[in-house]
Formats: sequence, C-alpha cells, structure tokens
Amino acid sequence: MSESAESAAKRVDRSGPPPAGPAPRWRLPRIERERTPSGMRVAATPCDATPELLLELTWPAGRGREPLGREGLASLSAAMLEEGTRKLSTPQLVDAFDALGASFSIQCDDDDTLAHLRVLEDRAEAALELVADVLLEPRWGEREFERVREQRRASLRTRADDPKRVASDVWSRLYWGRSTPLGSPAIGDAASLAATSLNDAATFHRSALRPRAIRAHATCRGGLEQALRWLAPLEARLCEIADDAAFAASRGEWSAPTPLTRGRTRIHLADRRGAPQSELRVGHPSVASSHPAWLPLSALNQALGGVFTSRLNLNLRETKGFTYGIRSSFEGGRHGGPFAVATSVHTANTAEALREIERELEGFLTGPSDEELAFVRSALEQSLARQFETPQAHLSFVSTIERLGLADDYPLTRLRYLNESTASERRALLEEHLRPRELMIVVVGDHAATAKALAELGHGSPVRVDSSGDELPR
Amino acid sequence: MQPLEFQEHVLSNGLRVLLHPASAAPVVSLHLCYHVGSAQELPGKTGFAHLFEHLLFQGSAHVSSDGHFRHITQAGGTLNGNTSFDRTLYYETLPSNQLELALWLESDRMGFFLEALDQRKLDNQRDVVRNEKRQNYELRPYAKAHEVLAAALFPPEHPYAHLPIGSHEDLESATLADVSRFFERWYRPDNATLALGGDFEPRAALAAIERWFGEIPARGGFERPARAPHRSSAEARRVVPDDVNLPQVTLAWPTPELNHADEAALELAAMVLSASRSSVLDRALTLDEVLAKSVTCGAMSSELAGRFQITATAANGVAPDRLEERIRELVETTAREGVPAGVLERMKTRARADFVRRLDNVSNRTSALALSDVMRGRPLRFVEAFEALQACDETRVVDALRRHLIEQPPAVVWVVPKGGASA
Repeated sequence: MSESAESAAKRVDRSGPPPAGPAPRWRLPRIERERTPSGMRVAATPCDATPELLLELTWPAGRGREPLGREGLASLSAAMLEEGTRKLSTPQLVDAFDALGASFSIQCDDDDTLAHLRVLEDRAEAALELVADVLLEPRWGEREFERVREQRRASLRTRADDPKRVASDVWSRLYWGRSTPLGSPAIGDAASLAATSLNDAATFHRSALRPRAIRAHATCRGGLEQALRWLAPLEARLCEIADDAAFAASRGEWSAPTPLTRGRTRIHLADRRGAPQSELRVGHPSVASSHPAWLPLSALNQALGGVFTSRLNLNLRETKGFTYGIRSSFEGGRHGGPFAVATSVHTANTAEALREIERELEGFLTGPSDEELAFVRSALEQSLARQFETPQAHLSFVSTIERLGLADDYPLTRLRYLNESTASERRALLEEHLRPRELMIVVVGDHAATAKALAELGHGSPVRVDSSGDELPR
Repeated sequence: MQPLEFQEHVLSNGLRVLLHPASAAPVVSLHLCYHVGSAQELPGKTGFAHLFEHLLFQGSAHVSSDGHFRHITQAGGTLNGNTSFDRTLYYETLPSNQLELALWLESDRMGFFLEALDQRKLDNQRDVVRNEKRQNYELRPYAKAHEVLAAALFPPEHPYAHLPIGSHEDLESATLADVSRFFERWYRPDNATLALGGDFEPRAALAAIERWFGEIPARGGFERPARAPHRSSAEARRVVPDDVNLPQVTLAWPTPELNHADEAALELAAMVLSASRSSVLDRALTLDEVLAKSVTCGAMSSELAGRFQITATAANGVAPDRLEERIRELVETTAREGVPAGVLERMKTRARADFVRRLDNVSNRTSALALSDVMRGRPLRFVEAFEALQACDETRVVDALRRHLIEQPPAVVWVVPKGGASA
C-alpha cells in the first residue's frame, strides 16, 4: 500500500453506512390545465431535460366498452389506426414518422385508447399533423383489416405457449367472469375475432373520439402554452366534430363491472406438463385508485412485497431460493384492480411456496414493524428527489394524476399517511383490505407433479381449468 | 448533440475513474464495471461470472447479507447488476446527498468480499440463479433456442459458445473455493472502471473515491482472451422442439468484434432490414405477404466477436423452410440491388433520435461511459461509433451485407412444435 493510500485508508470508517449529506432540494412537477374550445382537456408540465415534446392523447375507446361477443374490438380498432390514413398507406405512414425521427404508437387498456408521440421540438408541428390524420382520417382499408385479423389469428394460436400469459388470462376470467369483456384476453378469442367487422372497428373508434372525451397530456420545455400551440391544428379539426349529446352527458364513462367474489380460498390449476416452474397468481379484489385507502395500502405494501427487501422476496427468494423474484401490489386503477402476488417458482416447491405466501399475508395483518415502517417512509421520501429527472417521468406523472383522478401532490399524501397514522389504524386498514383466507390462487404448472401437494394445503383439490380459465369437466 | 462532459483519472491502484458532472437533477449514479464476463469462465464452470454477480449482492465484511439492497433502497435509490460475455456491471442511482453510501458499499465488496462469504449464501444464490434460468430460458416460449444458437454459431472452444447463464450441472458443482479463486483473480481495482455521474463537485468526488477505494491493492497480470472473430465455413443447422404452436426460424452469422470498421455498416444494415414496419423484412414478411407473425433483426458486437441475427416467427400455415427461404432471398436481394432511396437517411434520423432519448438521464450516460471504457477502450468511443453510423453510405452497407451474410453460411435454428404438429 502506498503512503498516500495508507493515509487515505485511515480516514474512512467502514463499520457502518456513512452519514448522508443535507437532503437535496427538489419539487414535484407543476401541472397546468386548460379546456380548449372543442372540449378537449389538456394537462401539461414543463420539463427542461431535452428539447422534445412528449404527448399522450387518450379517448374512451377502452376494452370495457366492447360489446359482449366483440371482445378484442378495442385493440383491433386501435391497431387499425396504425394501418394508414386517407393520404398515406401503412408503410408510407411509418416512413413519415421515421423521417421526423418521431416515435409513435397506439395501445388500448380497460378504459381508453392511448396514442403516444415523442419527437424533437423542431419536428413537433409536422408530427402533430400526422397524428391528427391518424385520429381523424384513418384509412380503414379492407386489405389491411384482413391482414391484421390474420396476424391476430396467429397470436391467438400462440397465446397458450407462454405460461405467464396463460396465468394472466386465467386470472382475468376468474376475476371478472364471462359477463364482461374484461374477463377475456385483450385480443379476444377466435369467435369474437371472426365476428368483428371492419365497420365495427371504425364505428367503435368514431363513437369514442369525441372532443369532450379526449385528454391530452404533454411535457415539453414550454409547458402548457407551448403544448397548446402544437395542438392547435388538431384542435381546429376537433372543433368541426359535433359532440354527440348523449355521449357528452355520459362524459365517455362506462359502467364498470364488479369483480366476482368467491369466499374462501380456492386453487385453480392450468396444467402444463413437464414445466420446470409453476407460474403463480394469488390475490383478491381490492379498491380503485380513487378510493382513499389505495395510497395508504400501496405504501404499506412496500414492506410486504413492493421492493426487493420486502417480506415476500426476502423469504421466498433470499431465504428459500424458490424463485428468481416475487412481488405484490394493490393494482388500483379506475375500477378496482386486485391485490395480487405474482411469481414463478420451481415446480418442486409449488405447494410450499403457496404456504409461505399465505403465511406472509396472514402475518402482515398486524402491519409493518416499526423498523419496516421507518424503512418504507425513508425509501419513499428520499426517492422523490430522483424521480423526476426525465421527460418520460414527467409525462407519466401527469398521466397518472389525470387518468386516475389523484391529487397533484399524491406522493406526499402517501408520505403523510406513513408519518401520521397509528399502528392500530394501519392494522385496521389491513384487516379490512387484506384477506388471506379469501384468496383466488392460480397455478399454471405441471398437474401430475403438483396436484397432490396442492390438495394438502387445506383448500380442497385444485379446480382444473383450461388455458382460458374455463373449468374443465371433472 | 451536446458534447458529453467528463474527466478521466486513474488511482494509484489502477482503478480507472470517470467523472460526469451533470447538475440538472439532484441525483448521483455510480457504475462499476469489472472486465470479466462469461468469456473468462473455465471449462466445467459455465454460469460462474453471473452466479458471482449474484453473490456480490450478499454482503461483505462490513455490510450485512441484505445490506446492499436495504441501504440503497432506504436511501431512495435503485440498484442492479448484469453480466455479459465480457464484463460485469454493478450500478446504483441515488439522491445526490448519498454519494458516500454508494462508495462505501461498492468499495467494501471490492476490497472485503470474501470475509463474509459462506456456504449458505452460495447454496441460496445457486437456487435463485437456477430459477432465473428456468424462468428466462426454459419456461419462456422459444428461449431454448438461445443456448443452441450460441453453440451452433461458434466452435466449442470459442468463449462465446456458451451463454452467461451457464448450465445447471456446472452451477450445481460450484464450490466456495471456486468462488474465492474467481474473486481473487478478477475483482481488483486494476480490472475495473468506476464511472460517477450526476450532481457533485468533481474534485471532492474524486477525493472521496480515493478515500474509499485507494487502499484496495492492485493485482495485475490479467490475461485477456485475444480477439476471436470467427468465420463459418459450413452451415450449422439445429432443430429445437418446444411447447409452442408456431415454428420460429433464426439465421445468424458470425461478424467482427466491437470497434471493427464494419460495425457501423452492419448496424445500419440491421436497421434497414428490420427497424420499422416498413423495413425490408417486416414489409415483405408481415405486410405484403403475411409469412411471419413477427420478425426481428440485430447486429450485436461484443469484445471478441459479433453476430448478425434474424429471427422470425411463422404465420399460421407457413412452414419453417418456406420462411427461411424467403428471408434468404430478401437478404440476397438487398445485398445485390442495394437499399431503396431515402431509407438510409430515415434510419440515420431514427438512430439519432434513439441516441438522444437513450442519453436523457444521468444513469444511462454514466453507464455508456463505463461500458465504452471497458469494452471499447475509451469512454467516448461509443459516440464515435454513433458518428460512424451517421457517416456510413450505401456502398458500405451493401458491401458489409455481401461479405458477412452472403459470402459465409449462417447457423440456422428452427424451433418447432413438439410432436411436429404445426404449419
């Protein structure tokens, strides 16, 4: 060791974590809002990180509005929007965005169809012209429609190949049942795909693309004022669309279904012969993001299964070695997503892993320990300093608040709860919202290798289901 | 593009230090890259570099077994690590007042790791890694092809003929003595680059790095495998039965290593073939003809060699031989007739936008500097590679396609439905 290194070594104390410096200053992004003359709601936040516009446009063409028998319509309709405009064919449209260096994509979820654009400022105006054409003058070509349908037939055929996807499909079917489109995969099934026409897709889109139901979420250096300038050509064209009175009155909302309640814990097993691992989903219905309990529950969940050092991961991964990772969450959303645990475990440990998960949920009913609470509080509070570095983080913040109806300072609400709640309040909250004896358990794994041990968990023999979640005859 | 500001230092123990001050956000991001990966594994010890990465998160002399995750998370940070053929990267991003915490943790495991290692940790992380392999390579549809392809593409003695995840048998046989030897041999300051980015004062940060890392002794004498570009002389074909319903075809060609004069042309060629839905392969296979459900293409250069790979999943009713034949025709046509007008410019614009987006945060910029330093030999060589792509013309793209994809036979892997019931 050199002399300078020796003297340097004397200056560090390795026995414990070194003291932190003074906490850096930071602030939450500021959201500015405006309702345009057409009725479109615009929310934007300034971000100086890059000279770009990030824009999200949403309209209520979500899966929840699909008629029964037309499951998959929302995603088919969204996919068709990327298949050219009145002026441009599919490849021409792709080339036009590429020529601007813009990334553009369209997806749908339960509530909405969402278009995402990311483009450098000096190309934003041209990119917005293209986006307006995509939304307002889609091609709706027969040839394109047949091709998209053919590709979906291939996707349906491969759907059962992936155990994660099977677990998700089985879960949705058991969670929502058959009386809502949410109980089916987002791309529907062979029958609904065959039954859906191009006209269905076009009508579905047009009926939901009403100015008063459109939301624009943006981030750019110039904030709302600049975003409105870029949106002006789209706004002008939206002003020409008459708002359907009934639709305006409903504000594009749809009546959300209620998840099925099932009482005591049951295990549903989709067989996958020879699988080296079992895919597990464990949970029950819970509250929407707008419910006052959601932020507190999502904060407490950090200690149960929200981070690497949570109880579930330390036990099932770091102590037992059953899995590569395990997480839990109160999913929230606009319509009461579940509390759910998700993991993939070695086949030989399937039943034991479930027993441990149940034990951890039961044990968490009394709430986090003082040490865990201090940990979660510190982690959440200090992470805020680094969460708003990128334009994408700014856009996600605006989108989350606008779409879930949260307050502009919702991260602080979560902290306030951790700081101000008492142990008995936390226990009461968990006792009300965590139900370890009323679990829906989905196992996608090798029936022959796991069924016997699963039957010994005290929840009866596993109910056999197919890869869509429908019960198989005994 | 704005120039990337950074300083370069070397401590007396050989640790290379890159400082990238950036005060726009109150964060610091530390990336410590060790120049060892699965290419350095000995026969019968595959999967070792990656298993070792897991063990380095299990504490050290002054840090408890879950301490690394616990301390960083509690301080509001994020962290992870990853292992490739050539290097192992550890990183954390924290609020800017927590720089010393990151330095304490990283220096403790560099200097004082073995004291805290025990059989329980090894057994546990071996189980975790074997579950990672099951999850990502055995359960995931088509993923079994990755290992088969590596072995088909390179001769058995080539360092890239096996994947970093390794084999169950080798992982099972790993002992504490193996782990100690691996650590002693590779985890040294003179075999690493530490890159620090974010909101800090460079002189103070350098002094802190010297304080925490300066006492860890150098080792020297690292034997590096020589650059090992490979040319294939005969077509290797493999068929992998899997629990899938549609066949998938992969064609891969060995290509030169990082920093080679053809790197930019091959990367641009991959973009021309499949970067967007209107690219050559996507357009023909998924828009005009519907032979494939999806297609991807990539040029991947590593330190010792590279590969150019095309993977397509068949559409309903399309047999793998027909799909393979059409892919070969499309590659040959592109190499013979050149790239359609305007395409190269669009792909360069796209690459420029991707480059700007990728570097929009301190963590990615710091990571890019560290990786470029270790893998390319200079911190900013990755920017030069990007500029080379921007300067590349059609002649060079076509020439690279011809020499690497037409004038040498590929390795071909078909994944087919078990029992053969498809197409």
